[in-house]
Amino acid sequence: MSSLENKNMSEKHYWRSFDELEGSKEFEKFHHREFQEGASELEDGVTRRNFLKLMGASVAFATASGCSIRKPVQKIRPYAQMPEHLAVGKAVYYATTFVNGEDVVGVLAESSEGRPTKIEGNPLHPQSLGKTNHFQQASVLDLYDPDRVQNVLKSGKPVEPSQRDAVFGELRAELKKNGGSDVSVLMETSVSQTDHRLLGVLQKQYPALSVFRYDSVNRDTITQGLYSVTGKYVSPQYDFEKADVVVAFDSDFLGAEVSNVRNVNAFAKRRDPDESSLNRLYAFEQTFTVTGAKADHRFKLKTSEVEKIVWKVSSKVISALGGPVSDDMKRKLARAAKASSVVEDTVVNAIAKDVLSSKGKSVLLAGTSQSESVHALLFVVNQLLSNNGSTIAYPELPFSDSSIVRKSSLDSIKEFASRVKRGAVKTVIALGGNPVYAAPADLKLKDVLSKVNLVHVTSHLNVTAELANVVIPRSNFLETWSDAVSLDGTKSIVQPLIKRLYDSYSDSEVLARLLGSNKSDYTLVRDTFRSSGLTSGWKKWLHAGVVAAGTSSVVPSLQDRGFISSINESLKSASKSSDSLEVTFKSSYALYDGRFSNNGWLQELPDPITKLTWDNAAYVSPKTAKSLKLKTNDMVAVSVNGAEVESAVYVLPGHAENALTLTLGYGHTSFGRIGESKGFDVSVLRTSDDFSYAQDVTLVKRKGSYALATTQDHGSMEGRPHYREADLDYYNDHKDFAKHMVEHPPLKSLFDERPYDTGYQWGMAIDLSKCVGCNACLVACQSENNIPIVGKKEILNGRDMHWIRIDRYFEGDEDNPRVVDQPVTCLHCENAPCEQVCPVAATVHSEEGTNDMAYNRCIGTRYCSDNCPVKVRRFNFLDYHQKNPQSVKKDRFHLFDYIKEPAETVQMQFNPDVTVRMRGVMEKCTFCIQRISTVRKQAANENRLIEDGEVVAACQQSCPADAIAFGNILDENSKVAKLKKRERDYHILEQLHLKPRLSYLASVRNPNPTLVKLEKKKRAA
Amino acid sequence: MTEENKKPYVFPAWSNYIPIIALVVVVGGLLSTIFVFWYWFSPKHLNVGYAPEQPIPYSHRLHAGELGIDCRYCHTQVDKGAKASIPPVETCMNCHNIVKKDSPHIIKLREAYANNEPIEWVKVHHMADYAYFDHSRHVNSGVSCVSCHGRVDQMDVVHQVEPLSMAWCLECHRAPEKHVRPKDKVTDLSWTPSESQEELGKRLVELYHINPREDCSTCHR
Repeated sequence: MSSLENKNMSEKHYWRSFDELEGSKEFEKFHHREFQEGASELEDGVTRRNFLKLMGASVAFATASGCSIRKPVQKIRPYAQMPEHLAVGKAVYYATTFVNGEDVVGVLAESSEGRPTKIEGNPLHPQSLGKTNHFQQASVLDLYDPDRVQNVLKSGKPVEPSQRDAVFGELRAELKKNGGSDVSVLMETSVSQTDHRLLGVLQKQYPALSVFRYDSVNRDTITQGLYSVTGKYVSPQYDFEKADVVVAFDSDFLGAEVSNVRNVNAFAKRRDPDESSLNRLYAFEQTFTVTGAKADHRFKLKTSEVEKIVWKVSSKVISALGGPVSDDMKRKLARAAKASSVVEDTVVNAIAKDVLSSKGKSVLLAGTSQSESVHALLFVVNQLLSNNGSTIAYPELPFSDSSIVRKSSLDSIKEFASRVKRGAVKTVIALGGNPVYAAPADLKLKDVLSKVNLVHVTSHLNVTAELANVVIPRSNFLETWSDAVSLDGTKSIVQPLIKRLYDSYSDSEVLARLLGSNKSDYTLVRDTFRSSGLTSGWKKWLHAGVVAAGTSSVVPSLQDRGFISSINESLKSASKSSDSLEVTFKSSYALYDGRFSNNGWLQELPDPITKLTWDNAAYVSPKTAKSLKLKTNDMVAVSVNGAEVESAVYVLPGHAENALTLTLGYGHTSFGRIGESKGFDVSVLRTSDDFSYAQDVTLVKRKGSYALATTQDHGSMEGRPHYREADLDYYNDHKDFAKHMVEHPPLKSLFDERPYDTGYQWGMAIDLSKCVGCNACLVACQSENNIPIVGKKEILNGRDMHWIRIDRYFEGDEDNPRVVDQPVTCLHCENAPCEQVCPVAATVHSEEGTNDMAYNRCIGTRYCSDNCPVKVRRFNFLDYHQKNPQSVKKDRFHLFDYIKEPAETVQMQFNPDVTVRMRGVMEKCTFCIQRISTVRKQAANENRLIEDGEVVAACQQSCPADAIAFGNILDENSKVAKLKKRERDYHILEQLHLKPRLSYLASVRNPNPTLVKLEKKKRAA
Repeated sequence: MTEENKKPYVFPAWSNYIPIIALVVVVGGLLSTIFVFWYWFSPKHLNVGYAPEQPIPYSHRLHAGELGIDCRYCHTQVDKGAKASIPPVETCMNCHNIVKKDSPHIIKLREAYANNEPIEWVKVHHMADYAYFDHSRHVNSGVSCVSCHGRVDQMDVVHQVEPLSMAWCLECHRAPEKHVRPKDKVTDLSWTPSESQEELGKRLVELYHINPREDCSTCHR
């Protein structure tokens, strides 16, 4: 149990890793060093001496080759015919839609002179509301990935443009034989109306054609579970803004699950203790997730045991409220509930009481790893509690009239495999996805597919493409016309921002080619709209990005379509409790099912909990690790069902005992220069019977160790109260508790302090109560500010470049700690210690209170970083843009210049308003000075003052929780000034008299008083 | 040993001058090196006067000077955005559809327009990539084109007149009253104040709320 007491904050002990908790020597060494050992050394065996020799030689060469001192001649290529409304140098935004599986989020893509450079949320789209998550933020990099398939390949060789039609012609010929029975289409879940329309036509034309669907990360258990209890194909849509109590059973609705942007947005609205009544979140889960970290009460359980808690809670609710289940079932439930003792009855009673007292204002939900019967049972419970129709809506699942959507992914792929194995199919068209990598291991798709004529439509040369006879390049969403329907029924348009970079095809175009049509994706989408009666308003929809919001929700009535028997079934099977080691498969927070593997920003995204980059690992609890004599970085062999996988171990505090968690999406043998051979491929262990988790696992320690690159200990804050929080009761009595946590003598500056009392004075406030630590801001910042990726080796050296780091502290004992998150970036101190030590005045204060960096003045002494108390300065030890594995040789050579440069397409992503930094230069958060500058000039040109909300920092723009406020602190009516006046507002390291412009609002949690009392009693005993 | 050999080795008398000569050479060398870099490597020397040959010998003297076409007829974005914008071929065709149709240069122009291909003009005024200059902010504050670009209306071939160095920028940012003029005279390159520039400037600075910033982040980010 986590600490539930209203302890004074100073008694709480926060820690960031085991090494710190134990005060090990390595940790001491690590955090006492400004940069890590060897951080100042050059890599790749190049010593300083050799480097100087090389430099001398290159200077000599450059001089000999008669280099001119003048800048190189530059050409200006204006348009011949200028597009209307285009202003060179001014960004234009277009509405489009980002689709990831079933997650459909409306976005606005920023176009800088015709190149999409940044993705922001579309305020008009209900799944975005102007916000985004890390996937959307990083998606722009995928467009420019130079490793994308660029040609139609036949037997690995590029096909001439004139021969491309013939490739489709051959497929059409295959289809025409036997009414299409020789061909199978295997696709990912499609949310596009156009795709479904074309599939329908295709199936009508070739009735014997078989179409299958497979997603290795899917939410079919929810769909099927709800079908068993309602007889309808619906998708639950939660309104967390209305929910007082949320109980998450193995559900990461704030993190990895679908609609997380909207979920976080609504949830965070109820985490501000000054503006709303706080909600309360209970979480039951195996490994730590974003949701678990935000929970007021988190309980660690093996994935298989979560079901039992659902029974317990359900049993209490059903017995209190009656219900549609039979008495026999009630008895069974009660018996099953009693049998399980993972969580004490008193706790369950307290939760049940809490839920029962907030009827119609609570949400009970389960994750996709849980069985169909769990989802069915929870529907019943939510129905009894009148939550259905109030906090939960059930719009019809998009395209649920299609048999492809109705059948679960798992059933579909099984049927597909057996059909192909039977030899009934000669040609397989794999439309997207990576089935060979991601399909359940027992289906042996690699062997199965190697016997057929495989056609793979893909953006990257993955393992499936390796097997394929024909590879067709798949377009990115930023270069494609399409449409999408989100789970809440919102219809939107996918609009391209750029001409196709390569000769690629959209999914709809591939389907059209199979039908013998050469129509473009644009025509196909327009046809779809016309055929569904949407004729007028195209331009309006295109501008808004949304065609129609979802229809109002339906509350399906209870109908037994097999849920009673399914619950009976699972009650029976679960009576045998298993003490065996258990493994749970989770989608990667950064790479999803592996589709984002070649995206450097996501590969280097520190996991919200473990802070791991570039790798996955087997997470185990400290106790389990101790009993198996494991520690972080050890290699283990995990075997189950006769298959074995080697992985590195990561000991994760708060993980359930006797269990381990493996992350999907890593270990590609073939993908691209960024994504290949990173981490461990664990899909070998995943079979169609043990799809979510597997029991009876054996774990054997292997010799040798692995270097996992985590950013966890970087810039530790040595136990000072940087993160401040209180329970609601305590907060109500001590509203200004955060202001009185550090005692210090009266503060006085050594220098004359500037008043900063005129003009615009920029400041930021971050509400820790709202922040869930989701990482969206981190990627948004990276995308806005041309921040390079550094690679695993450099992360190990402690040289990560992210301008925002999200500090994750554990609190409490290592077996069951709580997790808190704090985004830290440059504080823009008015008395900035960095400025005082810069020998060349490269970092100085502006009149508007921002701490500026003049990159071209910086000589790289790193004194500023030494003197920075929050360690937010980042040094370019190397030219990381040039060090990227995708960079190419330069075609020109100049004095003091590099031999390599980022690939041409990667350069297209760069924000033209921000300098691309070179080696030897310090950098850090600028408060998005380029955005301030743009707005300031605009306002001055229009002869007016900047209004509040006009300047939006990239991090603030992306934050789904709305936890970041930015603006002019002198304007009393600005949001940021109002927040800074709150009593929760505090400065970190206030004893140093930094006068930072970035302040935090202390977090307030809302634990259940009954459980707090219980915990106290337990402690006393 | 002979008497001769016993005599100690002594440097000749002139060697006494070596330290002085060395000092003069070293100091002089150093100073002249500094001078060479400070003078010949400065933007003032390296960049001023740069007049590259353009693909089409377009004459600003003829168009802006003799014909009196306003700067903004072609450089449409100059008061709206950061970049003044080199006009698209379309703009030229507005007149050259009719005017001087048979000139070989205009034929080149027409071809570019027909093929929708850009004309590759050579950039004259280079700014460092790390300096972000905004035309609109200056034009809308009464800084004339002539202040930075000189009398373009008298140039057949455009050349750089000012060094465009940081020190040169700051000169004006520190004393804007020496350069500002009424907003409606910004593109009138031949305009001269009828009163003292200092007095007019002071008045305009007040009137236009001109407060040029000198922070690093004004231009560098």
